[in-house]
Amino acid sequence: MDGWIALALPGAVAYANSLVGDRTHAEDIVQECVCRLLFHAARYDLERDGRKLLFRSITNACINLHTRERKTVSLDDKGRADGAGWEVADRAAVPPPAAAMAEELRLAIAEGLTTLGVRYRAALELTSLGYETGEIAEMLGVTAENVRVLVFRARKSMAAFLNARFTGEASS
Amino acid sequence: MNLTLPVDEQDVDALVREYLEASAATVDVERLEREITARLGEASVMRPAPASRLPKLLARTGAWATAAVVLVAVSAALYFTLQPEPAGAYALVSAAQQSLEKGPDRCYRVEGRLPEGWLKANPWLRVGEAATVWTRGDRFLVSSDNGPVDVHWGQDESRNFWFIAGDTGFSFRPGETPPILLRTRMYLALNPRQLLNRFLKDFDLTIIKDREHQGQPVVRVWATRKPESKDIVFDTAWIEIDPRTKLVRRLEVERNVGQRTPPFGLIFTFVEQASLPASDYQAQAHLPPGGVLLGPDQAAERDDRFWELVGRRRPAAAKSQEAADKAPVDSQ
Repeated sequence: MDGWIALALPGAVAYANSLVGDRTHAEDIVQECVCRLLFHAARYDLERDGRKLLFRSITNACINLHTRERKTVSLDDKGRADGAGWEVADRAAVPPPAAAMAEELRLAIAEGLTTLGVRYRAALELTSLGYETGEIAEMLGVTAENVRVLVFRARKSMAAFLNARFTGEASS
Repeated sequence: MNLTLPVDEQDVDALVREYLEASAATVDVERLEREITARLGEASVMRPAPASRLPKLLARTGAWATAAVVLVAVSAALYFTLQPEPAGAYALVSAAQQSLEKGPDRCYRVEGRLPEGWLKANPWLRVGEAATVWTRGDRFLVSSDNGPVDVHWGQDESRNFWFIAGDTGFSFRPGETPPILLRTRMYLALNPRQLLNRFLKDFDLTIIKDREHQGQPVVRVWATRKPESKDIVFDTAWIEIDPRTKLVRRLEVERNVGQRTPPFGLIFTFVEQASLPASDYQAQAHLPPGGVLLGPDQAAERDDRFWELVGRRRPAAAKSQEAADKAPVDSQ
């Protein structure tokens, strides 16, 4: 399989997972998007543009999914942003406080991201991954100005969420 | 991940990036690649050729047709069981197309079974009984020297389409080519790269079996035109690809023109040859001594001479442009 795919897959799954909130579903979307790109490989220079096209395809698929489906939440899943339910983690296996704090922060970011609308989330994540405003605008089908607004509000919301979570105060 | 409180809005990007990177680190890439490969394989196997497209010999009776379908299914299943690479027909043809796009010059011998009417109507774009096609990306050169006159036509690096008639060469920029030539060029469709592009877009592809060619493995792909595809000249094709190098070793395209008329088509066979000088893809290289090339700079004279040569009245400019816009162009 092409080298660019192996390089892009981890980030693509992480991104899709963040957008749809379900790892299995995310992997399914990523696989489908990769297959579609490979079917139409003749139209593109995938070595050069494959990663960008894949993220665009994932963005569209995830947004479509959100607009098509109303997500239902099982009581078993309630309380865990990653949908892992109430299963108790083996704390003995990760004793260092730093690891625990990192895990707490990871869960907080995951939870914070789920409070954002899918377009806000996509804009923020794509920005953090280094995509330029114009590229994100193209992926989301909005104007560059819209992207800037989405990212600005998403950052503000995330900062407020994290501050509330860890200090009990919202940022200004 | 490190957190500095209070969280500033400018820190959010870095936190999100680290979160995504940590999440990415847990992805099992090898498993995903295996699953994608399996999906690609399924997709090609799940697109069976319509029964009416199967070779007539096998489709004559229900029993033969059933046997053929079973044989195809078993062959495909065996192929995928024994050959994890390449993944599927589309991936393989796509790789072959990319190989033609980026790779070195490729030379094919082309044998044609074409309607006499076409050959008479298009004496400058023909293959005769056999021709040689060189291709390098968008460039191609068709040479046939076994007819009454040498025939050369092709496309240069600027995608200018050209042909030689007697001591005069005609060269057209993309968008300038008269519709009559566009249609003829499409019918003869001698650029393997463009043909493969068509197969990817407008055909159902199925890997039928693998075989050997001079000790080397070759995968045979059966292509059938999708019913909804428009402006496609050929109905079926066999594409033989070396799975290791993605080289198209043989390509056989066919058009069914009715029960009473035998199908016509073209057979491309790869020929081991050294690369062609870049200048050979240009019209100038094939002009006879003292010959003149009429290109875009002499558009008025060129078009007058062209329509005189064709022996038809020149269409009104607007009509010509309209027709050109509607004509199915293969040059993209």
